[in-house]
Amino acid sequence: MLKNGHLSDEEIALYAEAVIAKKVDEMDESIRTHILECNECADKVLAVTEIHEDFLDSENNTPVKTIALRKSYWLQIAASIILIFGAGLIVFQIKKVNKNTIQQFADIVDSTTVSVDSTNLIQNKDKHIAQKKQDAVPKVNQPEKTPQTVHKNLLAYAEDANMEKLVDRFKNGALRGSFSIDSQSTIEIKQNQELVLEWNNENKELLIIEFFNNSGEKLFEEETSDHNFKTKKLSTPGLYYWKLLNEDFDLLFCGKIIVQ
Amino acid sequence: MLLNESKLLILADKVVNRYINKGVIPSREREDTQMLIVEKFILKQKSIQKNYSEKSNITTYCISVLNNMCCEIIRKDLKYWKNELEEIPEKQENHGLNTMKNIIIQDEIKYLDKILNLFGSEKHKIRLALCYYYMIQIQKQDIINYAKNSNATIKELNPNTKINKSEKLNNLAIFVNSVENKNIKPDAIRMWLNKIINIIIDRLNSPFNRANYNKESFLILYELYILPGKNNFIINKKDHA
Repeated sequence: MLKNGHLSDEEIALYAEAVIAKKVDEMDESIRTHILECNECADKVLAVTEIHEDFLDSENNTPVKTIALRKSYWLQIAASIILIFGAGLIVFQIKKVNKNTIQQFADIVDSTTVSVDSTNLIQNKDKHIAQKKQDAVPKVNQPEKTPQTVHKNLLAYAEDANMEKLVDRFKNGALRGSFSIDSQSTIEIKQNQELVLEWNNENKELLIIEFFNNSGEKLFEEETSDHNFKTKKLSTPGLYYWKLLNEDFDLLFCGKIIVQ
Repeated sequence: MLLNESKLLILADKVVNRYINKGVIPSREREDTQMLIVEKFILKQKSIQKNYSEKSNITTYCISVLNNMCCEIIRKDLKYWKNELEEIPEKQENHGLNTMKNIIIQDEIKYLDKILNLFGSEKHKIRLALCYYYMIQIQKQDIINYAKNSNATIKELNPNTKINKSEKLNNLAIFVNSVENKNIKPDAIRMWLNKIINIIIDRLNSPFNRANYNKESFLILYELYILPGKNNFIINKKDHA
């Protein structure tokens, strides 16, 4: 917090992001208490939340604009090609007639808008293509945090209601008496870090581990008779769920994995 | 450069637009205010960049900075604008008034929801407690959201029962204690509820005293928020005046 007892611009921004992602409870306790008591900071958070949502909404509408822009871009190219072709054809025809006429035509062409337009269009086209190339390079090398990617990122951590119910059921461990889970209900790992799931499998039973994304769709499954399972397959940041089943497909445990 | 020029202009426009929609900035001041905050942002760019520690998204951070700058301008110029804002004559004709009213009410309902979202998971408890306190039909989902991990009974929270305020607070205390496994007294519930209502009303009236909500008008808005489309109040509002 700043010296004047209010939240900094970045803390306001962070809280607004948490409100949008419905993750206010994950914010620092002191910040939450401050927001509850300080109208000024709460107002700022509300403002940033509203403006950011408004911005995201308008960004979501941009593909329509892009298509429209693309249309005009292709029309420009088509028009310039036609004009170049037309001009070329005229020059070719005139060359056939005589040199004098060519000279006359050259004078005419210089003064007509057709030739001026076509040159401009070609230049515009070149500029446009060069600009596009320029724009494309940093996007590949340096992924900027655009609102769409933020939105995608937020969605990657959205919870699946059905899976959450299951996770809640197994919050205190596995339901089967002889079987115990050593891993926590929610596991947090960093990107590209190895995920280790642990349990107590005294009877060396064959177990099936299933992994799901945050929409509840199955990603992959593995089998083991061991006390643990390690994988590096979950490398994309987001929320995942995992289920542990025995050979008879009885659900032994369901937990969640947060890849940061 | 934190933002490119076009994005900066878009964000500045969104910021100013918010305060125009809230009736704080007169619409004719749109461009001037927008240019002022863009200029401020460009001039202070170095310090803005220095204060950014990349914890939040760059766009959200810039919105936060631009919003602060806009608020500074409003604080400075509001006294000049106030006369202009107050001079706007109220429309007398009925034509289109209902549609206008509906849009405003919908905006206010959305704003109330955003205010409640600031409370995080406590939102569910607040929604439930307010519904019971104001005797508005309790939504099943609110009970599930608040009491999902407990076997607490909700028989005490029957909104059709005609009971006085102290009985309501007593029942609320029993319910909250059974869900949260605490020993809170009804008086503590009363104080908590009063504090929450005052916070919500203060936030509804912000920014820059744009509205004039009191407990009665808040009750009307809250009922519309919980039961959209319902015009008949379940209880007589005079009980709570």
